[in-house]
Amino acid sequence: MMSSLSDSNSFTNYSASSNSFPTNNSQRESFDDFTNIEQCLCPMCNEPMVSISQLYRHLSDSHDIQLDSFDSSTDQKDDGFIQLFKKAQSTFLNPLSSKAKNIAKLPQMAINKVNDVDSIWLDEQSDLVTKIHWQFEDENDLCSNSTCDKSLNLRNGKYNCRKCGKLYCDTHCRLPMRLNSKALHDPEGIWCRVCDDCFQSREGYLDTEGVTRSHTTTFIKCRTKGIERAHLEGNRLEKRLEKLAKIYSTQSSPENNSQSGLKPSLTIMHRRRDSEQSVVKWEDDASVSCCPLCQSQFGKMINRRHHCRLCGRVVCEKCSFKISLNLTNCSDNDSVGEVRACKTCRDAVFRRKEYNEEISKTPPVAMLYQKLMKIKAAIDTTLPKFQDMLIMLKSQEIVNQTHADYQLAARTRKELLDNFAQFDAISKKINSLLARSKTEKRLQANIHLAANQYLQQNMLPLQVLPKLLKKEHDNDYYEDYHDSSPDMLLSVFDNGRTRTISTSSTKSFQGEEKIRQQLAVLLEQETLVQGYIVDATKQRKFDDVKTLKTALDELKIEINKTRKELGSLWP
Amino acid sequence: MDVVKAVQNYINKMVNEVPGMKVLLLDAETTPIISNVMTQSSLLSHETYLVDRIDNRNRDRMRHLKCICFLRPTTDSIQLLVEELRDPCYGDYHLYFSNTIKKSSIERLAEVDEQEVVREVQEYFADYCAINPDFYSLNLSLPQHHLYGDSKHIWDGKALQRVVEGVLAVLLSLKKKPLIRYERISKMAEKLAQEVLYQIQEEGPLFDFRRTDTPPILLILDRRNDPVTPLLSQWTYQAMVHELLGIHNGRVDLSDVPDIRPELKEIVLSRDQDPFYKKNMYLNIGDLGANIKSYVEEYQSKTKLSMNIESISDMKRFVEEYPEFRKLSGNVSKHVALASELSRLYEKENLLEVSELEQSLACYEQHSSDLKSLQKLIESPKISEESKIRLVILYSLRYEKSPNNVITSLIDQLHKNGVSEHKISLIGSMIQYSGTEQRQDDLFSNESIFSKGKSAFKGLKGVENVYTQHSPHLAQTLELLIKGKLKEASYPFVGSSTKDRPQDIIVFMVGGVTYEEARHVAQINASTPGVRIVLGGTTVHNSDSFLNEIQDAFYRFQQSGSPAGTRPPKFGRSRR
Repeated sequence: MMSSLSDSNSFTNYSASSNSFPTNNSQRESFDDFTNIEQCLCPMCNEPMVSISQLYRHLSDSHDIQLDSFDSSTDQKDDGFIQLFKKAQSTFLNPLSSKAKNIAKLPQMAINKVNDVDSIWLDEQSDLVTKIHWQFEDENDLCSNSTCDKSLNLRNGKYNCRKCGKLYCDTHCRLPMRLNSKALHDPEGIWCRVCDDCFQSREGYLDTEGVTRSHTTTFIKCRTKGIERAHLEGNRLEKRLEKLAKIYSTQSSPENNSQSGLKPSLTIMHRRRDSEQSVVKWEDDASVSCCPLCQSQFGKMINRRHHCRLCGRVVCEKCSFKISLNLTNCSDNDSVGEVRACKTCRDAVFRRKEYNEEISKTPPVAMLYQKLMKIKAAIDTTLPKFQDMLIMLKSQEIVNQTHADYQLAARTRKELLDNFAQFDAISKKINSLLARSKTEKRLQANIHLAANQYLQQNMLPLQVLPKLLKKEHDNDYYEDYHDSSPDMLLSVFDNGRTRTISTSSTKSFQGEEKIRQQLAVLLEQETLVQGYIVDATKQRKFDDVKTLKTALDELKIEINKTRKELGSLWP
Repeated sequence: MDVVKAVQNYINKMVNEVPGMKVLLLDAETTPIISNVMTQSSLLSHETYLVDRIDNRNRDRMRHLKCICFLRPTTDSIQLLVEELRDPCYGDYHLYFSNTIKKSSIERLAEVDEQEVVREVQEYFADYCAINPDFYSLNLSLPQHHLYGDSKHIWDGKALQRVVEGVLAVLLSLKKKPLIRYERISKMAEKLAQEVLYQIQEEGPLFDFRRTDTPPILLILDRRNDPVTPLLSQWTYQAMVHELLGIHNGRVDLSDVPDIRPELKEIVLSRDQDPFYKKNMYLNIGDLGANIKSYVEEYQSKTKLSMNIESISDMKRFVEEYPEFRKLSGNVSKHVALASELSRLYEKENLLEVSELEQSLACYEQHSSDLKSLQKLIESPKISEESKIRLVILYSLRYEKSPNNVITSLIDQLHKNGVSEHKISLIGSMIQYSGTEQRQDDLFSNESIFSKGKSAFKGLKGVENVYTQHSPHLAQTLELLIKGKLKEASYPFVGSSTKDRPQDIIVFMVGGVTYEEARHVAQINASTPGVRIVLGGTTVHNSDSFLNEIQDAFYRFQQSGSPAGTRPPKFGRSRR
């Protein structure tokens, strides 16, 4: 076995076929090394092998190199080994000889890879997967892929996609997918050759929606428990507050009436304290040495002890507040006195109330914003209708369009323009609202910005549409009128002028309407361009500013002209 | 399998589900996740008018706004949220967490929500930065995150936790329940693979997806098996910008560039917003130059057109096209500024010369001639110290086991040329981190006879461009994987295994990935129908950040036990 190798036909071929092979010597040595040791290496992946027969098995398992004449007898083994070497050699050499240039590029390599993928996976599973739906072959079939118009023949390949049955060329029908016997996708099925479309239209293949998990119910369940406790506590404190208010109102009101401005006398203070303690038991002063909320030490003179009138705890000055007592819940005016309460109690009683109050108040921004959104919703529903109308008008042009339809479209357009103008006005108003803070300013500016974006997206295209409308209109009414000028706007002006001079008053009214629309468009453009100029100046793009200024000047001239036009209609 | 779309989808869902004026509240980690894939205008169009940080305690009360919180469920964020809910600034709260949230945290939040402002609590698994449709990063970079624990084979506990969560989020957002393979030699890859498998099993119901024809593969690799790729100078647009200027969350800082216009001090590179960038991000600088030229010409012709406005229709057209035109003009000046800065830096650092030697060291076994040019470059005052260090590291990695290597004399030569000690110590650290002993595949194809033959043939192929000969080790690994020929002995499975050829592959590289690898993955995706690959890693490295990470890690290994001394200065080029 060794002798047949060291004489090695294959090796001489190996070096001969590549005469520029640089490391001949080292290669020869190493080759001897390789054959002399009993524990040889796989030529493809360098994995050590115990014996030649294991190498055979490894090659056929891991590298798909089939040694057709493999047998356990010695002679055959030698043969096989040489063959194996030729194979290994050809995998090295082939790319060199054929596509030396392309191989440098990775994509090409990857494509080659796919080729041998297919040859193994795409067996002809003729009897296992149904063929009923297959497209019949013909003399001059074309590839069914929309981007490919190759004719199907031996060279380009001719394959039925096993799933949809259509005929494809080799490149567009080479993807592997598992199908069941009814030629439907089934992860349990067998590997079949399918076209790109079938491959990608598998369920979930192009899914971009990730997993989400909701904990809302768990959260709410946890919260409800806590909330109930908090509510009970809150209610209890509120009750106490009410009682205190009653006590204060009965005891202090005569005093207040008779000697207002003077402090209540000591006896009253004592009586009040007793009744306060009847609402809640006060904590013993001696038992507390530091404030339970802020942990600061109490002293005799500084940092004195205070009792919370709602829970009875001893707290320090900083952690307690005077809260006013009202007989009725809502009004702030009829305060009957003040009591001390600790931070916790105050929060428990008032925070919810405050929060609900704040929620129920709507600041001007929110009001305007609601209006803004209402208009936006109106635009969003009308705009597609208007576009449908335009399409309909266009299609009916052939069958002679009716006057009513046109009128309707014009009315809708006017409505839209009105809405846009209103939308713009409100967004400007939001931007100019007085802001109490930087964040508020930012909020208003951003709403304005978003509104502008919306206008740019939706109103600018709208301005293009009337062109179409007018064109139809023009074609309809002035079929005799042929204007070679490509300038639609000017031609429309001309039309308008002709109209006013030559035709009856109803028609001149239409002309006027048209000019008015033109004026509106021009005015819109004027404001737009002015906006651009401001932007461009800010960004110091002076070239742009120059161009824009000329544009603006011309616009102004045109606007004046149109205004005059309009004036001349009604002398 | 599009990570950008997956993240965008999550965010759109958040802002769409809640109608009305909204504020978006983020934390330090979710901010880059959003800013990588969303623009302000797309948020505005969904009525999200304010974006703020939850750690900003000076927010105004605006009860008429609804609040969307998108947070990573870290202890810090939960604590901040508890404080927020105790005293809510806004009307309604919709809580979205970027990963699984603990039951105890939910209970804590529920307890403080006495005003009943929370309307919704959800987990949306957008817990990574999507950079390209097939490229993501977990943004674990210094100085906030250390990857390595007490030795080069052990994870830092926090980092591992974050990485496991990040990988799980990638899988969940793409709806994949993969089989997991890892690089056998890497202890860190193995640990990560086991953790991910454990978590998948723990979270059973979450991973209940439609069965696929062939199971997707999660391939966990380790940077140390290919330390070469992040050390090379880059020549394709995206990679080049990151190597020389650094791309951080889609932004490039140009404030150091001489005579830069104020509006270009910080620029945004976004595939979605910038079609020119999308088209050219993978092109090399030669093709890029030509494209920028024609881009400028296109702009000029448009300017000319807008300059001569003669009729109303011209004007009308101009007005309609103006926003588009203005966008174009901004974009043109951005790319021109960027490209000219790149070429200035290349010239300043003589990177052409350096890169040629880098490529030769990375690709070919040519000891004597490469050594000669290496010694010449070390002597040259025009070459930056950083480049010299990188070249010597490349030399040492390749010839580490070769008996006639002269690593020590090269180090002496570096000393003589005034390269500072802490920079030189990196050479030793790199060998320890990623020398032959630490790698499992024959990276330089010089370890066995057959691979030597292979590399000799590689030299015959005829090269198109001397600067782009190197192809990262990852490309080869992926080719084998696609063919179903990646050996189980070197890349074992954890859990169940398969012999099938994979169709969907998710790669995660411990220790960081590079834009060069991202480009190769994009190429494979484009040229291999039926196979989809998504690549990601702990961070996206350029040579500076890579060497910094190694320096930092080895510095800490040496310091463990003794009190910390002065930290070595950061490795990296100065731009001026």
